[in-house]
Amino acid sequence: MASYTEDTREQALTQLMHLYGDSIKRMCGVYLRDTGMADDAAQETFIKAYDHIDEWLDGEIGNEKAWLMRIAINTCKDTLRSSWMRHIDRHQTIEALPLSITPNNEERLALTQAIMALAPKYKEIVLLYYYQDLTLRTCAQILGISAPTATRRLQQAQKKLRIQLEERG
Amino acid sequence: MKKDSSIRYAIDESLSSVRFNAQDERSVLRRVRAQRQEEKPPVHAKKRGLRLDFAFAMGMVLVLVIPLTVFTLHAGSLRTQRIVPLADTNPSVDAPPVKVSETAQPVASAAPVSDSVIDESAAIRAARDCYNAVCDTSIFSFEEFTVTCTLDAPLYPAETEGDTQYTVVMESVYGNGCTFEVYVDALSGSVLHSDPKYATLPSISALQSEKAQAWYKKNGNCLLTWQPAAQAEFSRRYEGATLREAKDGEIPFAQAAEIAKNAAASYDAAFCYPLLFSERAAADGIARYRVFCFADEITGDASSAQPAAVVVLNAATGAVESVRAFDSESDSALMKGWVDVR
Repeated sequence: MASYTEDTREQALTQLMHLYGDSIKRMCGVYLRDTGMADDAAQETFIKAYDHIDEWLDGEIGNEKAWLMRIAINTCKDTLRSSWMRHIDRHQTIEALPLSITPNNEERLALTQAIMALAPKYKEIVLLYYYQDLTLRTCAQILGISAPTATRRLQQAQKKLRIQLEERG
Repeated sequence: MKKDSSIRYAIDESLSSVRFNAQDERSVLRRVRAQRQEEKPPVHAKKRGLRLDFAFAMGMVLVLVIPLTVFTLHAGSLRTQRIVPLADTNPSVDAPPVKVSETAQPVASAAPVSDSVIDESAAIRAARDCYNAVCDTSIFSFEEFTVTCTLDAPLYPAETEGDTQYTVVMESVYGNGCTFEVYVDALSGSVLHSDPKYATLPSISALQSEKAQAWYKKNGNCLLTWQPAAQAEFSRRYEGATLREAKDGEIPFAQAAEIAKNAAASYDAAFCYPLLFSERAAADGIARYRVFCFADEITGDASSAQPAAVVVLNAATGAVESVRAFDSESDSALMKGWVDVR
């Protein structure tokens, strides 16, 4: 394994933050339904990634996006599992989140809100597959489930989304 | 299954204001650097008695390191980092404010400019003044933080070209995630600081820390049965100072329990345990007792104990504001002193 200077490592991390920062923060926002916690989770994701930045620089991490998304999803799960979250519902109501509302995007807003309202296990597969544009096999690897389970879960999530959207009119 | 991009568009459009911005990036890089310093041997912990060594080191810094550092920083190729022991460098409380040298010259060439760069102790003094001015010192004092001072090259040369700054990172000694960062311009001494609320707002995982768990081991797993002083101190360190002790002029805990017991008589309340929620825990800034009333006394492992009623009292007057049945959904967290003060 090559030895890198701290400057090289920081530059590499900055590059990752430029590339994936926005999408990770938004994904965390949808998953956690709390903008403050999304800030923390997104930052935490990159801090954890830094611990393995040498491996990434060495080319040992094949799919960097999948690697980062795995860290991000696990960070979000840890946040939800924390004792504080178990006792205090810090989820903001969907209506209270700072979503951008323009007259033309009400439909898209409703879709985002419907995803936010899904249970975490459905939300994560939707976010990874549709929002992060990963393959179903990669999603399954990230979530630690088999490919058939991932397929089934995605289908169930689609069904739940449809029902929610119909209910919202 | 054909992949539909409408979800991606929907999320990006709906959350277009959610960006991982330059501030986030800086925050990540600073935390990474702080983490790196922690991993290094804690040289600062052993130096307190060695004043001669320290003076010698500071002399060497002044004579050799600073001119060299300024020169190399300007060339964009070297960064110096050092953990600064609090006791060695903290000025006294009545230390004069940082004086900015009017003769300070911008770092414009390789010529030695050490006279115009403030030293670390001045940077820390500036951070201390800044903390005392903008943060709630009634919760944590400056001495309750470890201080790391780093002389840094510009992180984003395009934004701050020519600047050399000290980054003073303060982290709570209680391991609760409270942090405050002050950026001091090394030439002018001017100060920028991070959000003061994070200096007194423990992180979500603070309660899981070993130090916090040690309190439960020592005092029992039910906060209600702790002494008021222990409740207040634990809350100050790990819960954001949502609880406190009664002040002069406020009704004491025993009296609050008695008032609540009478008020909740219809709930067969026999044993009442008060928590005094501070002004910080209430939107209207009024301190109130929440008294949790039980039919039986709390003994042993009280994690499953469920009160019959909750009585809310004004801490100053003792006036009963409400009496109601315990609601496990909304009151469980309050019973542990947890209020979201973000």
